[in-house]
Amino acid sequence: MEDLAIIRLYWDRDERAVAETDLKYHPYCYTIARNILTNHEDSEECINDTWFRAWNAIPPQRPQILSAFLGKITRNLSLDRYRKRTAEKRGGELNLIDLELDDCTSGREIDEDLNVEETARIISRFLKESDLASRVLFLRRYWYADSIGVIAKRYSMSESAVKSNLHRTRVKLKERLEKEGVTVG
Amino acid sequence: MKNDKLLDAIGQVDDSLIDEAEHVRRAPKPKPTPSFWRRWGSLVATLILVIGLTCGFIFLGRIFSFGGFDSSSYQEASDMESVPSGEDTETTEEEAGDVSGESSQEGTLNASEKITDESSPGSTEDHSSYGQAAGPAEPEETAPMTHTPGTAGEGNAETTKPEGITGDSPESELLTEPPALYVNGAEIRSGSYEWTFPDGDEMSTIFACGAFVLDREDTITAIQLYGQDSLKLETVENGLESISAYCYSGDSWGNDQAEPMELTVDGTVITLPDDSQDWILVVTLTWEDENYSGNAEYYFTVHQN
Repeated sequence: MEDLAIIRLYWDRDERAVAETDLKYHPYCYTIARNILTNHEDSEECINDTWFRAWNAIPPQRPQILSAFLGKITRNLSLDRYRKRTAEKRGGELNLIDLELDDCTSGREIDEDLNVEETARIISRFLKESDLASRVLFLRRYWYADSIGVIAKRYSMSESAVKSNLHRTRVKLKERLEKEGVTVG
Repeated sequence: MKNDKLLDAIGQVDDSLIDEAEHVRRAPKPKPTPSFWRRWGSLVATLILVIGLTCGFIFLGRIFSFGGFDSSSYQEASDMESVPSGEDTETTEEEAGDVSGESSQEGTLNASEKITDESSPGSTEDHSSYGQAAGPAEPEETAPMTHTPGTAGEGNAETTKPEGITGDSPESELLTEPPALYVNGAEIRSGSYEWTFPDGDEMSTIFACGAFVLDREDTITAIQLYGQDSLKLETVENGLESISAYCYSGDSWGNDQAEPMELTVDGTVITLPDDSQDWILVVTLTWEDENYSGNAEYYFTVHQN
């Protein structure tokens, strides 16, 4: 079913909206959740929570890109769940991603007063100014939490080429954040 | 985690970026390299066929000249008709020349394979060895340039498109990847690019991202210069919007912190730095055509002899 038709079902408060969303976007959202949580049960729970959140959010919201809208909810829920886990249970890509992102923050804690929305706008602008390969690789890694190996396979690249590209993008992002006055500790 | 807030901020980037990262396709994988026998077998078969036909023509020519064949008349004809025999010999040599011409052409193709930028594992460079330079990128259509010293600065700097690009170009063809770039006769395939083209009812965007240019020492195309202070570029002209270039000094291999130097580009001519040393060049071309659009980076080194 087309996204517009699914969104219409939400607006009509038709419960088929959830079924159609699950049918079309379960694999997409599951991949995001699984990348972060590395656990099937937790990932499935996140998916169910995502459908619930979407049901409550539409209306009044009318997503322009339904996949991104749902993906964001899944990602946020998965991150929340990940953070609630005990430290010893942590693992997977997110620990590696956290280490890699030190390049953007010089390894220091980001300022508590950091405005997430404003920083997101700066990052969006930065990515739109970057070349396609760099922004796609960056988002696959730090938004979708794909492993380096998965990204390399997805785009027919060597892992070293992916790492090299990501490293350069992180360094450039750090420069941009500092230039824009984002406090990094 | 230390970077929780940054992760949250990344999570809130524009939906269009998230969507793009999900739907951008990878560049198509190059076709498998033909095996030795597939590559050379056809040439050998052609040679055998041409030699066979040549001998056949000579043989038949003699038969038809003397109305039939028997060993004695053939011998007799050979003894008597020295002039026609010589003509036949000429023809044979001519045809043999064709054969060797074909052979040398094949050799040229293989020579170009050797100078083609080898891709990092899995990347999509070096299509030339698979005969994929079909369409406008074929050397026959955009012949390798001959450098004319002193042409730099002769271009029309007021034109928005590179010199010679807006001329009588034939109607553009659909290109599903950036065309080859020709520099001093060397064919260079793009090492990194993003490329958009019609794919059915939709526009498809693909990208290829190889290794960082300074990590390509073993695979990059090397171009010999003979006192040249500029380089002329040749490629598909339709839709060519801009050319820019920068370079690293030749000893920058593996140096992630090396500072690039911007190069002057006048039309399709790049002026090299004054120093007569080796340079590692990155040339970026952009196209905007109804059948394709995108930008592509080409990497090569230049070495002054």
